[in-house]
Amino acid sequence: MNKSIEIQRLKFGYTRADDVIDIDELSVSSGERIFLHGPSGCGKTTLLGLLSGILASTPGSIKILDQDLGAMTPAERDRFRGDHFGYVFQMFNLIPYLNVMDNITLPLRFSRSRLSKASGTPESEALHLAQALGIGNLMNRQVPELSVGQQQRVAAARALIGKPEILICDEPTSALDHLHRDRFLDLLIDVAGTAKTTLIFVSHDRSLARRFERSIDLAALNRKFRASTGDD
Amino acid sequence: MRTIIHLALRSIMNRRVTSALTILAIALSMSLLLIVERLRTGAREGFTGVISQTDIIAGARSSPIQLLLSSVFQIGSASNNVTPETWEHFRNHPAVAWTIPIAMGDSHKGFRVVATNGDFFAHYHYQRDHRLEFSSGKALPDDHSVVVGARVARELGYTAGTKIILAHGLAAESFVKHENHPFFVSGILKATGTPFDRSLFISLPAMAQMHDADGGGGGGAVAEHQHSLDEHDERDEHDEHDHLPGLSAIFIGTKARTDALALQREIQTYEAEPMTAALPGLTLAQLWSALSYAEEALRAVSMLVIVVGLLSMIVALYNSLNERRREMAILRALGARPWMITAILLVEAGLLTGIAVATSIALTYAALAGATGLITANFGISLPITSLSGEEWVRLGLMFTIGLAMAALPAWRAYRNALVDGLTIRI
Repeated sequence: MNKSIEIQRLKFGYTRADDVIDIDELSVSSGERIFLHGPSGCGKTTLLGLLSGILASTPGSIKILDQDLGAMTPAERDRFRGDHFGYVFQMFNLIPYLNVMDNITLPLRFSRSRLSKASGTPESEALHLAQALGIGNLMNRQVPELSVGQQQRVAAARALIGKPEILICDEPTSALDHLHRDRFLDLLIDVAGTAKTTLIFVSHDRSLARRFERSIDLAALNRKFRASTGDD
Repeated sequence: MRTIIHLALRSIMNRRVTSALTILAIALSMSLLLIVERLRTGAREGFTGVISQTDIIAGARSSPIQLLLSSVFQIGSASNNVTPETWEHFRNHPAVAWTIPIAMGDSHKGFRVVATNGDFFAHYHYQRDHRLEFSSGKALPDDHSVVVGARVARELGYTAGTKIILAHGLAAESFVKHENHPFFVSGILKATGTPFDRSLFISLPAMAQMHDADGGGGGGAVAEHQHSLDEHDERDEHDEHDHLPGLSAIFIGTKARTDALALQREIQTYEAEPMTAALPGLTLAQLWSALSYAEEALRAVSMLVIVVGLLSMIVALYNSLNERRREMAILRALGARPWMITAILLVEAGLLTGIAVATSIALTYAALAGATGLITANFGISLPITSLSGEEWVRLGLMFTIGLAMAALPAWRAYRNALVDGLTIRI
């Protein structure tokens, strides 16, 4: 199976003197569903930043879809992120002054590659996804008018549009009750599975791990965190 | 590009109140700049346009500036008088189309009295082609009539028919009053923005009679002097000159502008009496140049307005764009390129400043429409409501460009913040 993510001897610190990430090796296959967990401060958000190219790693190597992120300029990483990544944020991070349709189609406006992978027009693709997520009747509504559950599905549709190869979900269920959390996970895993999207799902809630193919404990993987907590 | 404009527009619409205040702040600065510049040019044009279509001002030997100050601006007094015979000589000069004799020396409650004839109302022009107009009444039908300037009428509350007594000399409070020769207001001039708004006009024979009456110990029936100017003009020249005072100045219009220089030379070398001939346009320019500190002060105000305007513009843009930091992080996470982030903010700044330019033009014209009459009446500064000049468009364009250039700073900072905030941003 092709590797979607390959990390080799990755170190990263916000200051030179103090690393927060030290990972010897990690690889994720294409289409794999990963549950990434760990306590606060173990570097989950930092790792997501490194994987998505928002943060630049030195030293070490991160290959995404066989592309070395370290060899890219910041602008190239922006383009790469737009072309290949979908994101669902913890608090959804929808643009409040755009309606549902505009929010969902936004990634296609920034990436021709994603646009080319869309079936039909951006609007028809957005409607198709929205209907699958049960929000097809809300396309012209403004985001602040929606319930939390509806906003979450809009965020999921925005992340999935244009069939990104990698979908990152940063604690998207932390604000939901159990019922809405389970429904959301069902939808997410279903849509990601259909599109064969690699899924990195971050959460504190270990009970969710059973829904994924593989669970990674970042606290154990990150040597720097182990050292700082005396687990080494 | 459509996406960028769409996002910028929706963002502005989403922050309607903030955007409106930003636009208002920028528009007010721009409008203030336009108005101050119009005041500056209006003051200059008002000054240099105080007398126009008059080719030469002749008077007794002095400096051209002194002659202009005393005869037009009514500052100081003429060094000497010109005889009526000299006026007659140049009045009949083949190069001369018309003359306006001016005699001064009396006043009324601090306002100067100008003795002249009907030609003053026919030929005196200001601001290029403006003629004197009456708001009520008419010119001088007889030698007991007085025409008053707009400001005199307003400040003293005079209307047609008001009886007034003139005073000898130019002091505000004179003890010698020409009580034997009362005058009645026959007409009130419309405001011109010239020093003549603060003048009273009587006929030349009236001035002579007024002084004759006082010199003869007063008395003399008023009715005896109530002959009209027309009747007076019908007398023979010798008789007329016997009843005319010495003249402070003579405004001369030539038949052809090209004759003015030769006529000026001829007047300056006139053998019958020593004279000065001033070219009003040239002398006014010299005088304005000597008073250039006033224009420089207004120019300095303009510069300050620009600086304050630009500062308020950058503060407003910086604040409004800084609010968008969160959005920038989201857009970057969704794949927006650096140039897209910068372009969105610059388009937004461009839209804000563009709307501000249009608003400033509207505000300027509204202010001009509302205040031009008051300013002209009170300060003598003409602010015509004309279309924007090329220079004004350049100024607005410059402000727009500088506004955009200044928006580059918050745009860059927003991009940098977006990069730093990365995925940690929360909403």
